[in-house]
Amino acid sequence: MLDEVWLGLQAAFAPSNFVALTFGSLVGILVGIVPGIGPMVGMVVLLPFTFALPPDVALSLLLGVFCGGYYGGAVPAILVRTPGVPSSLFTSFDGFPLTRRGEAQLALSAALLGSFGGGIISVVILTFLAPALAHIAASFGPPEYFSAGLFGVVLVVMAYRNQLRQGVLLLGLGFWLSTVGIDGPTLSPRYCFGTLALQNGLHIVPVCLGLFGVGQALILIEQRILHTKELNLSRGTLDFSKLFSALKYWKTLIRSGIIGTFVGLIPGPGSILASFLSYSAARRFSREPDRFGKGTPEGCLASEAGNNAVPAGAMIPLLTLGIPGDALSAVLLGVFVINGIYPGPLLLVKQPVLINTLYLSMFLINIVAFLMLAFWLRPFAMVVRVPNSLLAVFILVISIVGIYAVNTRIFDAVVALVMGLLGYFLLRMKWPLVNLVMGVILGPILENRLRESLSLGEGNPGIFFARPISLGLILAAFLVIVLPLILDRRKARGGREALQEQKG
Amino acid sequence: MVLVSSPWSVDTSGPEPFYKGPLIFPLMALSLMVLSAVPSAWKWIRSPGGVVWELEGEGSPLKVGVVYVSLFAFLFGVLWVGLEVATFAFLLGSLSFLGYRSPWKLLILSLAVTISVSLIFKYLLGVFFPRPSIMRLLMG
Repeated sequence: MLDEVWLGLQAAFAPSNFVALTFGSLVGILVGIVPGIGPMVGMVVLLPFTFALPPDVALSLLLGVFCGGYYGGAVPAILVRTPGVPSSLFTSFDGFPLTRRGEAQLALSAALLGSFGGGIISVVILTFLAPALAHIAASFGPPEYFSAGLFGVVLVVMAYRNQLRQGVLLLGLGFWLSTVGIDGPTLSPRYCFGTLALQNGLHIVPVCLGLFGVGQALILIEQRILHTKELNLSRGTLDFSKLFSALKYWKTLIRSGIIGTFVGLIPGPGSILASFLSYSAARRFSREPDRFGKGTPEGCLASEAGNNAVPAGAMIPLLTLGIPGDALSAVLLGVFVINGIYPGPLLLVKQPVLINTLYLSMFLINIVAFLMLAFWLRPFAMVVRVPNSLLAVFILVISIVGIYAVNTRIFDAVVALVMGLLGYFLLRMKWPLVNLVMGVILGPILENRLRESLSLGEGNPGIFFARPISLGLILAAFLVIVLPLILDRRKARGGREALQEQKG
Repeated sequence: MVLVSSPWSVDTSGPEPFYKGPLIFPLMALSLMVLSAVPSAWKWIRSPGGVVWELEGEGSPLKVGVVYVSLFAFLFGVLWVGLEVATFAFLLGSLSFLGYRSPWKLLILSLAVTISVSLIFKYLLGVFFPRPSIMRLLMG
């Protein structure tokens, strides 16, 4: 056990891993700061580069972007009331009023402390909870895995239940796209239409990079440049004395970190809900709830601790069950699969060094991202002023050349461009693109488990209901679908009755 | 259409029973798509004035369209004229189209990114780029 931790420590501090996580954090902060880009674009743009790297280094690079993005998102939210990432919206509620009162340093200190604390707390929870969950998941067979995957998919779809039809359509499209190519178990070509290039299937990288990288870059071309003069920081670095004054909210920090981790653990809701719940809980338990929304460092700290705890929380179902909690961890799952590593309960037993390296790398990422932002606060804040169209063109060039570089195939770049157009239209129509990515990545996993389960049951789907864990997960999925619909209908009926009473 | 044509688009000649075969999952996925599209299709058929299709968002998609088409030109330009020339031309063209008028800024930015892309992909990662067609044509 100690040997594995020691080896993990050595791997985490190895120069290649340290450079990767530092570079990842740097890219993450940058893409987090620029409104409209976000960590997903950063991750997919760096995805082609991970092919030249060992799996632990590749994962550290992408985890750096994942975590760094949430660190960066708070900066424009506080300074110009424009959240860099959607979950930093709640940070802007108190951060911007503090900036207007000339207390930007206090707001940034609280947000950074929140991000750091939330990140560290969630990694600690991940370290202890993942083995416990993996122990339970060790008794899973194909039917349980399929039901768990189904439960995860249902949670993701229901997270966008106001766009239920679109969400299901995109999920189905993702599942179908994942079936294109030669079928592994039977070696039968599927939907290749006589094309040799399609026999290899649609690779995860061009699909994800096209949908998010190219699609988001095309959206950026349309957006206006953020003209602002409100980047007046009293100094170029973080004022560390303010950091200590934010430390008095340590209870809020711990509470928000725990909330964020557990929200991250559930597939679907993501960082926005984590941030919202942490912020709401902080206001409820605060000694000064009236100051929330008018400018209190406690609000910034709670919101940032909540959203920064999500990455490690999302790693728990990913590492123990192989089910990603959101699109960002779905990309990480893609990196595991590309390297021939299949997350699940056995991963913790078979690859203890890799797992320890991951935990320690996440610790290091939080420290590195915190220090980078604290010491280079002004240069990072200035990134907000870079014109969007300039960034968009650069992202497009890197994406297209990067995609070609993965397999040196022009076909992959063409797939990325086609997916980019689809991503652009879906983003423009505000359809839940996450479902499409989840479908593409989860499709092969669900298909294999389904076919294995049906083989076990000799074609009888009753096998899913005959095993208690599988039955429980299916019932939970059913409740997740039905309960919100009943509640929505009851709420609508209540509203109608109130309206009728008012009229009466 | 894909759902209906699936039995012909998927090779099901193997000995496996249907539940082990390659067709079951694509059929489920396509059925899911069709089922989710039924309410919208029903609304479209029932609506007397037809359905208005529109894109939300700001700005005209013309700019995006031009940049998107030039991306294809860039991609095939890599094969025809080489990575460096294609990248430089794409950056110069798209940035000037997107409103960058200062020639010095345009040249410096395009050159800097072209050099970086070439250094990273060709020399650092050692990615193979085919010899440009134009070179083959000129030099034989």
